[in-house]
Amino acid sequence: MSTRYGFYVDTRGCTGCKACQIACKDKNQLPVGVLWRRVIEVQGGSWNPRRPVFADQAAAGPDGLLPVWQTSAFAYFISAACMHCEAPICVEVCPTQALQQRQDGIVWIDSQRCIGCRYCEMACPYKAPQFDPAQGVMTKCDFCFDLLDQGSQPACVSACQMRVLHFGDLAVLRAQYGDQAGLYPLPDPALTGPALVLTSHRDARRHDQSEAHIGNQEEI
Amino acid sequence: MQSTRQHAWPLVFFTLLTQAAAGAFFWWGLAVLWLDLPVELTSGGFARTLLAVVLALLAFGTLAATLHLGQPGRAWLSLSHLRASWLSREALLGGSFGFLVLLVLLRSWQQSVFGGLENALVLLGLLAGAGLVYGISRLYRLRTVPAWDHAGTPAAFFITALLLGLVTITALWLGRSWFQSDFANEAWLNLWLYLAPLALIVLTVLQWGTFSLVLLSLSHRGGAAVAGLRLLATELRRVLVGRALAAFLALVLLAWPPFTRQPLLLGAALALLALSEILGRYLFYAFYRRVGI
Repeated sequence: MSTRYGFYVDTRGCTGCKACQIACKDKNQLPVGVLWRRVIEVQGGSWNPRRPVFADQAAAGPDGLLPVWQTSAFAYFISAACMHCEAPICVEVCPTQALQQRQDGIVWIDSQRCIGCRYCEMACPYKAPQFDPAQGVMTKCDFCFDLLDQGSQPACVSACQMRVLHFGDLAVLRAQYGDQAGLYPLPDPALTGPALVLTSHRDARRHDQSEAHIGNQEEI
Repeated sequence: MQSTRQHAWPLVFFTLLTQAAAGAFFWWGLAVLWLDLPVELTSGGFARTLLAVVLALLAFGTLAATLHLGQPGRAWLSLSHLRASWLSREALLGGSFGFLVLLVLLRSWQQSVFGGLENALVLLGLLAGAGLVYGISRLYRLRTVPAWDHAGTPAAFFITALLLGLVTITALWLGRSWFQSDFANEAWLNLWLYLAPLALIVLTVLQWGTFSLVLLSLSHRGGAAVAGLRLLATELRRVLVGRALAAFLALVLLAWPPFTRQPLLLGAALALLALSEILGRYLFYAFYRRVGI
């Protein structure tokens, strides 16, 4: 069976340093405003006054609460690029077949065929296709297939300082790390079948929850 | 891009103009095929003017859509993925519809009385126009955009096509009768001016009924669907109120027969309906919210 490439992200160890993002931007000479790999900061929780237990009742205020605060605040990072999905909606909707999928699962854009209609951008739940206003065409992560073909790694994987971003055969990654791919804020994996495996942070939330939110919306 | 507002207007005009073209041709074609219309209305001056207006609407709509592309010079490539892409199919259906309308227009110059061939072309044009409206609506039925992915989208698009088609034809009638005081088809004009306001009222009520059902349905779906609704209640509420007001005023003008007999008031009602549809289509694009990032 031929290789089908995918990414693995261990969200337990991602510090949000964005080295992967910078490496991608540098390698592909991306203009301002175009980011093929984005590091998403997920936040949630709050500070809550602690209710007294029996031993503390004497110290409780008129509202029955102690002047002690407990935190449920959490944060984690997810590095996200194109997921090179098993059922890529961008390839499906593209009217010119500029978006194509290789045998190894890598989805790439033939910029000579792209008409810049932005339909793929409208459809992709991972915000992978990004419009380059200077060229008038869509652009996206191509898994650095030029480097792969030379036996190297994608630029983002090479740059990861914490060694939490990996790539490889998707079947091997799933056998090793499981098949989790639907952590918030990523969408339900059933929609497009992302070639992605995640190891959940201890505070990670499911894709359909509402307790967390994106803390750096303007950066992604 | 979680908001399409910044480049919505070319698509607003594309969808509305093409749907108006399909709707106008639908009403005219239906009358040609089913009623015993005089020559003036089937192949004569009025018919040719209407067909030319339909082609102009289609042309301007296509121009708006083409100019919004990043690479308009490659627009012809959009026919390359008919197997799976509704945008490719929409391009084909639009081209087919325009071609058939043009053929009917050319035949109307050659043939004063429509026969079997002309009626067949009209029927094909009706089907192509309906296919075009359906194709446009399917384009927006993306599984990753819950605010658009429901039966309300094609329903609203078809109602808009019928509504704006009526608006177009009625405006044309008004224009012709304004400039031609000895308009030969006064009886048909009077019949139209009686029926069209009723049809416009029914379609407007249907449009708002569909809109209300869509909002109700989205409120139960959570996530991205609800995020779109919140926008309607906050940033977009003035547009929503404007749309409702325009439709309400139009209904008041259309419901009162003395008003519909006054060309200026009828014209105002048509303009208000068109405005309501423009604002409605803007809202459609504006409360786009995709699942995921």
